[in-house]
Amino acid sequence: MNIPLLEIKSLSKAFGKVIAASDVNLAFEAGVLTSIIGPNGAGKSTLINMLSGSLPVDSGRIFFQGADITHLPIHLRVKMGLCRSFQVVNIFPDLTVFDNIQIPVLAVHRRARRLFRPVAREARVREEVNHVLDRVGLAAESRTVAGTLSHGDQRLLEVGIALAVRPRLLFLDEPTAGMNPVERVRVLENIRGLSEEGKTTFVIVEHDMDIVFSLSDRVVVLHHGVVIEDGTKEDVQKSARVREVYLGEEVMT
Amino acid sequence: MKRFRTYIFIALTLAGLVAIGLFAGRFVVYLSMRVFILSIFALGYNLLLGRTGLLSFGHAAFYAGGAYGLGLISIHVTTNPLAGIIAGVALACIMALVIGFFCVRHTEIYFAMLTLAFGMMVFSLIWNLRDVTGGDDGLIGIVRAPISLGFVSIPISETSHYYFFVLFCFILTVALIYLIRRSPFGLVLSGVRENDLRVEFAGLSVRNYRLAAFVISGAFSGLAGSLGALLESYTNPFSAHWSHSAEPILVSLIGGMQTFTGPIVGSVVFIVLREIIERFTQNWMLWFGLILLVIIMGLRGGVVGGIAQLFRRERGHAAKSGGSR
Repeated sequence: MNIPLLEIKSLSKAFGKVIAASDVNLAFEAGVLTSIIGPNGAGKSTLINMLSGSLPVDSGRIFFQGADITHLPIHLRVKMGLCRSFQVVNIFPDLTVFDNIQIPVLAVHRRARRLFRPVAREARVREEVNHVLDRVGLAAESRTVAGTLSHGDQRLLEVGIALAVRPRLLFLDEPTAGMNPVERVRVLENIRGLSEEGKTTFVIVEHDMDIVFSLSDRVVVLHHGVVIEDGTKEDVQKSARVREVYLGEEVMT
Repeated sequence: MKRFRTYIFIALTLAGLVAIGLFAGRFVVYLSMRVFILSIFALGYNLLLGRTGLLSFGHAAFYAGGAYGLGLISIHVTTNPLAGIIAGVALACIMALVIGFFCVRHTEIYFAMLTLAFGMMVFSLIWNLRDVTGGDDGLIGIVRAPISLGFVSIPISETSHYYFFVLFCFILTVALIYLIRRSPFGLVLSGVRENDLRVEFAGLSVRNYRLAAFVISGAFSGLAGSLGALLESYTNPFSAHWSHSAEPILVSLIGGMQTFTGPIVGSVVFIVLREIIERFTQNWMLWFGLILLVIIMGLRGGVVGGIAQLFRRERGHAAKSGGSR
């Protein structure tokens, strides 16, 4: 059997009496676009924070491509190919758009430690930065200071930075929050395209059910830190338990 | 065209600096050397403050490391200033590596307070280790022997000769800092300043980059310390005092910590103003404080940043009113 890309074994986390994850067991296979949904406070963000290394786990283990990464610092997980984007805009506001993408690309190319060579001379890095900018549709803004971009463009940039580290597995925390419809379509097309290319596997946390059901191969439903449903979108749409959790919300149409 | 103008500016500045060494009086030469030394100190320091966004109150410790490293070598081992400077810079680097290792785990006020604490420890060590450091008497009798490179030997005992050596170190520092700021490493440092979490998620260890910036700035502090000790032929514990750590901070602020030339301009302003004010009044700090207040509150981004902004505004007006330039 293949080793799954990411495997979580009996992961638990509590903040005082609030249980954010309780004995979560999940495996993410390469190439399967997964969405994690659940009502507010279900523990989605906590789960991503633990998997990406921002939060320590209480108990349980995390394996990435077979290697135990439970206690690995963030930057080493990123180096292995596990990255995330954030719910709130998380960019380098005073740097240009180009430099925002350039920092992760330099890291990927192992050029970030060069002390005395002008960064402008790194031709291959420049090429790749332009490629990423093209991809997210910010090529025209490459010399703009990132903090002055529109909110939607900043979100695009955010996704671009996450893509620039060439992750094998990428968590997107509400990737389209605060975007206008045009930007939203671009991001979704990007995700779909990249997912089909097979280099990056996406795991998405989303509130918008249209996006969830149009994109995902697999849907995981969390509630009070417990996985209550895990299957195809049809399974989830049919599930009585999920319906109960989302009671009163018109999401299963 | 703009590039051409920059080259001319650099050439004129260099010519001016050489002219000072050749024709100016002893006092001006001495004052210029102090400006150079403070500039080296501040340029290195600003890599940490302006670039990486870390406020250290302990860099005088590394300055003293450079000064005492040179002094001890010069008194006990060899009077060759090159050996002394290398020893001084190496000592400053090691100190920065050890102290930085503990400090870079924290940021902002915690980082600042930790560096302050370590700086005070270094000060009291120097003060109390009388047998090694001479305690409050300091190290006396550091000689400016000729720099011997095997086949040639360059005399620097004359103030005007030493001036050119300090000028050389200053130019070297400017060039190195300029290169570092434009390098991939320099870009990552600004990333650390802007958003350290994001740098972490770019797959880079923020702690290591902070430490590297800390050690590099410590090394330049050590260079400044060595040159300072040679200039005065003497060094004392107050070179490690925390009040001395404030100098590169003030200088960077005056000149503009987000600019490359800020620390240099700041050093000129700091030393020249202080020299002028001290002639008129005993409490120069009061007047100096007032002037600082005006500069910091009036000119956002320091002297260099403020002037650059003025220029930009002027050009903006010219463009709007259809100016032909």
